Amino acid sequence: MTLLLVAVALLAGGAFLAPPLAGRPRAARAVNLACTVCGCLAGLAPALFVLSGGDIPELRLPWPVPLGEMSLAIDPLSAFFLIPVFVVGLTAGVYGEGYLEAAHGHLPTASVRFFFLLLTASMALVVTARNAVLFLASWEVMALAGFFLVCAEDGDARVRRAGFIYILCTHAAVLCLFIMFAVMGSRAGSMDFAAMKAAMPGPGPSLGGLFALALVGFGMKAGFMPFHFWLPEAHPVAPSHASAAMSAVMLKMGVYGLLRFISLSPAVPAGWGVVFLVLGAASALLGVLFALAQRDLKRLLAYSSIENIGIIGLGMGIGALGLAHGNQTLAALGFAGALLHVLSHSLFKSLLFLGAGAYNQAVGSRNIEGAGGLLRRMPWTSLFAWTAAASACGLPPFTGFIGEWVLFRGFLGGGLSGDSRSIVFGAAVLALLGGLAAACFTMAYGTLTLGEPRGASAREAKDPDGLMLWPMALLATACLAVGLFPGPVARAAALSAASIGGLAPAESARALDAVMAPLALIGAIGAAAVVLSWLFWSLRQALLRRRTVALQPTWGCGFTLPSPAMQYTASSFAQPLLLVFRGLMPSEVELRPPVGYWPERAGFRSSLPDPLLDRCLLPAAEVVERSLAFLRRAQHGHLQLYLLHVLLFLIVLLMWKL
Amino acid sequence: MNLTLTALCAHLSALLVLPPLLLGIIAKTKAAFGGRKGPPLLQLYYDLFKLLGKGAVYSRTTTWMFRLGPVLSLATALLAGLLAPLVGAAPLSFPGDAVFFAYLLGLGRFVTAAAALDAGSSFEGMGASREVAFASFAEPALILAVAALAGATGSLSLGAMFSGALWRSFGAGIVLVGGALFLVMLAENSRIPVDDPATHLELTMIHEVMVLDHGGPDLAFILYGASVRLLVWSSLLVRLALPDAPGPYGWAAWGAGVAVVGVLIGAVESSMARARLVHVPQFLVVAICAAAFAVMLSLR
Repeated sequence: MTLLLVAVALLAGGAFLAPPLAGRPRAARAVNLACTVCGCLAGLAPALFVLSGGDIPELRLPWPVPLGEMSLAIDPLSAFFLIPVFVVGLTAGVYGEGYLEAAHGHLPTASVRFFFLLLTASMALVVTARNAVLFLASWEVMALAGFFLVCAEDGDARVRRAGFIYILCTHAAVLCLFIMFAVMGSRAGSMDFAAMKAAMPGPGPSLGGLFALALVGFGMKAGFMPFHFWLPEAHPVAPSHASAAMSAVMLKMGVYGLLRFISLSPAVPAGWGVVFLVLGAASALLGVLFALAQRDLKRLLAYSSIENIGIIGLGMGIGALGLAHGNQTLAALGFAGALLHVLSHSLFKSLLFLGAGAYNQAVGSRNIEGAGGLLRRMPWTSLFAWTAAASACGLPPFTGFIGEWVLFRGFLGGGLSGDSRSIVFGAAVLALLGGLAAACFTMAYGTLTLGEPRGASAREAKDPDGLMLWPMALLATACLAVGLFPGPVARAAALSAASIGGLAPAESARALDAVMAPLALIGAIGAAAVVLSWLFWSLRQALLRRRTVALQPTWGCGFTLPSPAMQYTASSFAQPLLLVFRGLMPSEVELRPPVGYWPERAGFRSSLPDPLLDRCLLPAAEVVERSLAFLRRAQHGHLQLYLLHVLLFLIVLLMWKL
Repeated sequence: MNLTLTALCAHLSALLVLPPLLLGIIAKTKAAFGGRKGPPLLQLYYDLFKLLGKGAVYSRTTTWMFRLGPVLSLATALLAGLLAPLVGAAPLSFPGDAVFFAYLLGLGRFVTAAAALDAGSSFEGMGASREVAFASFAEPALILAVAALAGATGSLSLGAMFSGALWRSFGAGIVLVGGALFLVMLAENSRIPVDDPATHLELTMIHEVMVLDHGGPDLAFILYGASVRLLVWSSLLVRLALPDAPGPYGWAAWGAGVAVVGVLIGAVESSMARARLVHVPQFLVVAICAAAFAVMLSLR
């Protein structure tokens, strides 16, 4: 526990040292790197200790805030979420130094450093807090740090718009959390989680109401549809390492909150499981379809995060249904699958965002259709991004497959009775998602890195320097390592899953061990695939040794002057799938067909606005704004009249109370 | 795992040696339907041998991704062949291997599509785009078929699901699952009506156009890998329909069954035209629906 405090202190200390050191770039950089690395490593130690079966006593310190107490604990659930917090905090933090330097002063260096470290520190507190006041305070610090990171380049109107949408959403969410904790706290007479757990209402409308508040509050942060709309706005505009931390870790704080709520709840009705399954399936499916339609790399990754949050939601749904039906194995499987996917997603999505940052800086644009051929020009970045893309498709032997396999076991394994048996159809959803994600990442990766460059800036692109490459290398290794040796990670996930919903740890661990045993074989077969490909590769080398190996241009199918602009674009690549699903995603098309015998100009433009944000919420907000315009008359700027308002209000209050 | 050394050797040799023969059977069937003599039964062996003896021409645009595609996709096909039961138990079998099987084939598809995009040709991009799009519909059909069999047998292992022992208890389900798997097999192995392996117009190709720029040993790996995949799929269909009997009789029955599947594919290819590309998803949705009905039957 001391180590966790040291970690938080180092991160926060580093944060507060950043602004005063702004005038001395070298010192600021050294301090920032030292605090990031030492802080995150110090924080990882207790988390790993708990996940390997150790026990850390709870820490309680007095805190002068009303009802507040510095109450921190690391149970397996907290420990599991601490891993992504510190792993991504470490890698993205170190990468961030290189990124800030390569940005050549386009970014407010000191404030990005300050808020990034603060974000990591506050997330560590969010997952370990055991007092609602401390939890909400850390939550708010996290949300605000995120806001300032989103708004780092606030000279741009689009950035300000994204920041505004983000802060509105995050505060709507936190309002729900305030109400939820206030209700729970007033029942318990204390803001302590343990006391709240004891005083939770039994199954009934009040528990359902609390669940609805938790679902909106935490679900908004996690990015479940229909609360997802802030995400594709906020992620693209933040600096890439901040997007990585937000997408890979901050969204998971919402997942953590929901899981913590389930663990506090005395009973889990089957309806919650259904809600999670439906929301999860909808988020995942629409997330990946909208990702397919994006051309902005970071926006695409943001939609893909919604997809992955949906997959995590599917796991939580299985877990909740298992709890509701008293099926311990199924509950543990669902939660373990969700947790494994939490870890996988945090690894590959942070890597994807870091890679996206490197590409953006090299090419100067987030549009994938302007790039191409970057694998040849940025070999290391592209190699690392490839492992992340394969993980994102859920393919073995990479990390993404492990969680999905566990979820498939949950869906297909049976063990439920009655109508709940129809969750087997969830397996079809998961399979469809796998196929669509593969299409999406083949498209994005292929357009960006394969083929010929489509523009001059892509032709000149170069790999970034070591400070940005090494963190990516570390994450890529982790993506592959978890896929090849899933055993320890799966055990840790099983341990944490057992701590949700008060499963009997020994019993569910034994049940899960049996279910998860094949994971070792899966890892081994994955390794065999690597070895076998290497063998075939060597066989080919041996065969070709004494023969002519010629290099020629790509065959143009008879056309003699192919140009890079004739390559298949991402739009064309995604078109067959978007055509099938056009009913779900009405895109806006602007078509100027060629007219007459000698057509001069023709054009085609298509865009896919977010249906919820652009088609419903923003118009609705405009209507509200217009209809409340008369209230602006009260905002006239005369101080005397404001004081008069205050006086009148006081008199009314006095009359009402007396 | 009660797997004897003989059974393992038999499995491996069947998996490694027989695949090109199946394509010969299909070609012969098509020739017979067309009233031609057709290429020799062993044509693909000759082709593979010739290709392995050639040099290579690579596009200047390509990178290691292009060279990785053929080898990794062949590796995944062979490993999928070790997971699938031919006769008796599969060499590698564990609960949940059905999902792993589907995703291993998915890995092969992912690297093949990436290799196609690496050449930077619009034709190859087109093929890759179609391949991944249609695969997204084939995967749910396959998983639903697996779900139906898992529900009927209570097991999540390919060996137990495809044991041919379900006719009595799950007959209608077997018919539906078999139909769904046959359609998925046609799609995954680029056969008519989804794709035409014999076409000569790049615009209409799917799989063939993805490998346009591959030649020499690379093309040999690709053709061989494709034939291995087809054999594995046919074997699953055979195992669904025929009861499993180890030993020589089992192998004879299995061989005959696979040959029948080959003739069936040839008959389908001779009797119908390739569907329009926009209709392919509908074709696969039929497979999804059939498998979904089978799942409902299994839930009964």
